Amino acid sequence: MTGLLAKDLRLSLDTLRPWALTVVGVIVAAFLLRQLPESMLPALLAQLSLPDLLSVFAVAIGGSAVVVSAWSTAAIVQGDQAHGGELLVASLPVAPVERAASKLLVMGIAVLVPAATATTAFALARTTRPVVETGWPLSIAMWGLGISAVGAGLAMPWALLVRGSSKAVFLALLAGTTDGVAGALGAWFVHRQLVADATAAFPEPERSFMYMADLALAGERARLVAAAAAVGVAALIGLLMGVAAIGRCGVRRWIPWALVGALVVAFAAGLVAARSAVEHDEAFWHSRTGTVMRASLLDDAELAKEIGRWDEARRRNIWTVPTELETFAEEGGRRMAAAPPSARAGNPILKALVAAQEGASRDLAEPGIVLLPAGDESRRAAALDGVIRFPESTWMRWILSRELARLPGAPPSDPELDNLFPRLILGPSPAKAVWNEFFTSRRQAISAALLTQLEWARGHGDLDPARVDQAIDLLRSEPELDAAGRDAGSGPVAPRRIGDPSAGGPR
Amino acid sequence: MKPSDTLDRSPFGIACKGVQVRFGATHALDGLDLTIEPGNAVGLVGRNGAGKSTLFRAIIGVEPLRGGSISAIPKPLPLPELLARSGFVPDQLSAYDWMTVGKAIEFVAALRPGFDTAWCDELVRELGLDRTKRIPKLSRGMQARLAFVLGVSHRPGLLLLDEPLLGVDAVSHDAILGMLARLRVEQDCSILVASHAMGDLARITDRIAFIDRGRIIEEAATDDLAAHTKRLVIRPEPASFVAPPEAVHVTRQDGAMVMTVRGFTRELLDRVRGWVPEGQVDVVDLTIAEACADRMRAMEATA
Repeated sequence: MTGLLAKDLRLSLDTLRPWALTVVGVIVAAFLLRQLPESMLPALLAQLSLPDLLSVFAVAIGGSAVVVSAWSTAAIVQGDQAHGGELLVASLPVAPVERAASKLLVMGIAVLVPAATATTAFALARTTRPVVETGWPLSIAMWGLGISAVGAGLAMPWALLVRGSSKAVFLALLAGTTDGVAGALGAWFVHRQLVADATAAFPEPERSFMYMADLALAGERARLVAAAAAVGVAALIGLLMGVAAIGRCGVRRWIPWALVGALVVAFAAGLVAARSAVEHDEAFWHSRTGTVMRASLLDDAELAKEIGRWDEARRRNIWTVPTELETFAEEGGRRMAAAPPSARAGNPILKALVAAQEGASRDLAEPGIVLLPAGDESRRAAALDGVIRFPESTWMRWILSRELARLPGAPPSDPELDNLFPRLILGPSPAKAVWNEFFTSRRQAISAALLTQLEWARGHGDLDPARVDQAIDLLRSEPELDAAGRDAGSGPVAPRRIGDPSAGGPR
Repeated sequence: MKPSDTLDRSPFGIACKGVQVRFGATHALDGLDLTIEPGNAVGLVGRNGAGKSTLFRAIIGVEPLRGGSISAIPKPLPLPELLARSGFVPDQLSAYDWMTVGKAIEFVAALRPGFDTAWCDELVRELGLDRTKRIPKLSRGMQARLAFVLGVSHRPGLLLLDEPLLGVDAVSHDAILGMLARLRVEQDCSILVASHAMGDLARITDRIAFIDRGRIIEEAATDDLAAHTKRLVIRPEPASFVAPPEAVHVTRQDGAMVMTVRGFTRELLDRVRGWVPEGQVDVVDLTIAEACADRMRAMEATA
């Protein structure tokens, strides 16, 4: 083994010689540049310090590690042939394991060289001037080692298949690129599925463009991970095949098939890696899109629990409620709106949404009520409660009026109830007084119609009559409304226009 | 790990059965069958590209088999043991170009169990090799001598010689043949030797196998080959005839037909005389070299 190792180490000198020359050359050049007066240096070079130069050198070495280690591997694998000793060493009684181990050991050393060089340069740069962008030497070393190992693994089978190191390196890089593309193709399928799942989970598919940025970024990340995994797996297959072939296990003729197989495996590895990358993509799953998807995947009980957490959080401080909790509440509202009335009874989500309204302040109750399903008894009851508890809330009256109007035989709401575009009526930039007049008139019109509806509800519907009376009393206690209510008591609220006294109603 | 000093040097043979080796679409060995019995010396004769070197490379495991088998006889051996107990002398020296003759010998000695240093020294001395000379500086003949030294210094039980005497001068030529003879006498080692030098084959082999397009097409005992192969010179050239199955090679020369036949008999001679009742048929004895050369010419003609 010693003789064999000595021979393989001698073969590896072919790969070390240019390395040594490069390192020595760079060091000498850097030293000479520092000796020159600043006036003789180009501006850019004059600004570069020694740590900068070392960093540049390390980046260059680390970046080219894949090529360098591929070339070193090819040179070592083909060394026996290139130096005329192929048949001699083949005819010697060396166990396949020893033969492969000797080559592997030397290749390992050759692969270490770029990583070690880059790491040393980075470490030196940090020693002389610690800067953030140089990174940690250990992580740099691991990256350099990984890149170098990939280069070696990709080159190994080609070095056994073709003659000439440069040809083997070129083919290895080409194969590595193809493997990477195969992996990215696998990721494309995963991303397509993710987009389909997300689209199915979107509450408003027609506005799916809102979610595209998150999905696109998740896709980019998955593709990168998949391509890296594919190349890594292909390199591993190449390495194993190469070691087996060097050990003369009769596998050399299977190398072409292994390369084709590696491409297929790279695709599969891309699929698996992309799926895993998506599953563990914290950035995506905590984005708006990811949260919507997560919410859609929860069952009713889990979702009710999240709604409870949302309510608890917003009662603590409405301004610091996590977006994802709001998303869970919205999903709960959507799920209840889509469910048939029979499925709502006893549903934990509906219970959680109702509980969120109970005793809530106006700030919480007003936005929360729309999460209850329209036309449902729970929404009518919550709106009636809101009308009583928050007399100043026009919104609650608006909701209750709409809900009552849905009941068969109920008096209608104010005909302009849904007019949400006051600017179309008022024109651009109306005076403050005009605004106030507009809103006051709307509130009065809504309240007048609601009063009529409540009087009807006393004898119909499912609302608690005592609570209905309480609301009627409240509305009647408002002097302006009382007059309007009397005007409109026998029929629908008459439509009114701002500045049109003949339209009726208080001004 | 230093190789063991003990080596089983008893002769062993090789059995090749239906051996197939391919280089892409080319069938370098196409179902080759050949057996070298322990203690036997077999000469391998064939045109360039017939598959001789490929057979040697297949035996030492360099070329993977696409079919068939190669195994040691009488007892099958794993490849490392087969390599340990055999010696291979390639047609071109295989040694690392940075080495000197001495370093190459040291390299092999370190990896060969049973390397016989005294025998190696004797070989180096006999063949006039300079240990300090670098491999690339060696002449063709010197390279052949070093290849021989590297291949036989451990006194193998089976010797695989692929054109071992190519480029060797007359003195070394005789020395190498003498050492081979000594190995056979002292150890009764088996030999498979490929050569275009038929005279050499006659001196060292028991049998000769003809290889053509990756197959052994004929095998004969070396002595029988000369005794039963004759050249018939038929004058005048017969107007019409049907070549007998014994005919190996037929050519025309100075108005006569020259026909080399294998398995010469009195009955065959009478048959040939019947082609030219008025003419004359001369029977010429052949050397082994001439007999092989005619067989080669026949292969050339059918290629």
